Amino acid sequence: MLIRSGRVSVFIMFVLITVSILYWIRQSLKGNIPAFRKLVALEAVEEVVGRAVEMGRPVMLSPGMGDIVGNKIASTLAGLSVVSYAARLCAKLGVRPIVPLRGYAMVPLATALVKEAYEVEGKAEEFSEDMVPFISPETPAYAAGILGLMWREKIGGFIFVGYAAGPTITIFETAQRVGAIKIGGTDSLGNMPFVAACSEFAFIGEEIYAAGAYIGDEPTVAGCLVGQDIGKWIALILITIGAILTQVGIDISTILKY
Amino acid sequence: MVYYKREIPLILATCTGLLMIFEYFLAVPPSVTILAKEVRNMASFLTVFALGMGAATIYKMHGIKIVRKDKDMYWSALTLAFLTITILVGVIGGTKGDNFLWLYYYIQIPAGEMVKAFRAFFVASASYRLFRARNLESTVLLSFAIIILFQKAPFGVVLFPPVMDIANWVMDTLNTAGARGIMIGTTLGIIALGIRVFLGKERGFVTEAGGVE
Repeated sequence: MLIRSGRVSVFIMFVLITVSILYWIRQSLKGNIPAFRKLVALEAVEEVVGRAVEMGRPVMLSPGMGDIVGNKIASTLAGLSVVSYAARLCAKLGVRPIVPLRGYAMVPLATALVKEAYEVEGKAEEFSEDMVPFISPETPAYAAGILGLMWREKIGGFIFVGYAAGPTITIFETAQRVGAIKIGGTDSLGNMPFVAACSEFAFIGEEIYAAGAYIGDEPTVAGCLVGQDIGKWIALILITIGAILTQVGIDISTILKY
Repeated sequence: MVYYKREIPLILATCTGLLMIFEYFLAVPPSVTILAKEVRNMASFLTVFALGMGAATIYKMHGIKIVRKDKDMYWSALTLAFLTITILVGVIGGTKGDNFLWLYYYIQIPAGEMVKAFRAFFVASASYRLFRARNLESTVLLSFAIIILFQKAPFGVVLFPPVMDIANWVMDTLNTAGARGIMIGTTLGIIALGIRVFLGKERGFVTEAGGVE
């Protein structure tokens, strides 16, 4: 059999979603761009950086507590996209970014992203490697390091997008106490309520991946978002059919396990 | 941007991603499975090298602060001292030696637990600040928070026994439904992110920074 046993239904879903994303990217490239709502949290990034400029205080940009190795890579990449965008705004508006890192494999990548942000804005001489401090791969040590940085630097803005672990609420509350405006976003279920509740602006779940699409070119944005929405419709239809069939005694999961 | 900095990483990412997808879904020959496994092992090797690079970064960062005689130089010196002692103890006695384990169980673990202990106070502080009945949504949040608090506190169930069933229903039905919905959305977002990486449209981690014009 061409497809591995037990993965047929997942493969079909994956192909449907991929085809829909590619189809809508192609449609968007032809000019048929559907209307989509703006991400308030992403539009607030400029406001947060601008406020930090007015206060004369630095902005802390965190790509989360994950790394680019392991199973948190997706949310970390999404976080790095937002950090890259915010770093370029910081370079443009003349405010110092601080990008504390937990993942050691991320150090050269994050350093290169921030450095390139300054180079693109023609301010390469203003970049310093102190802007991208590697704290620790241990979660409590990272939390202690980031709290100390917040208090010492008296940050004016805090943007956290990526994987959120245990000390997330500690970090956000400290940012609140130093008077920073906070933008938070994570896909980790356990800490999502803390991030959403403690932030002035929040990315909920999949919005952190959509943020990366928004930062890119518009046809890709439209294509990816419409494709994701089609995937959600497929899931919704399957859930509804499954719920109805379960009530009449038919177990749809036996089909989906094939 | 120089070609090798942008295109080669994208090509590598695309080829590796497609290999993993084909190996997971399709009934491929054993050689492809072995290749995919070796690629995953390579990622582990890169992680080990990155760990060494992380330690070197810590030495460089704190060393510069000491050389420049920054106001926090003493904390940097302490950090480097602990790092050096830990490395030496681990190299000389092994990571399963008594001295290394002593450092781990009697210094690192208590220090980590101390940071975790702060969490309770920050949760209380955040709850006091956030659980306010400002509008309909925050009132609903406050109501459900009170129900769950009553269920978790020993006296809550004694005072109002039905709170156990109500709280269990909230967690099993409302909370689980919401969590699963978010999980479905997150999974779709990850798929879309992967497709953007394959197409070279996810630029934030490879090419020139951001999308600011």
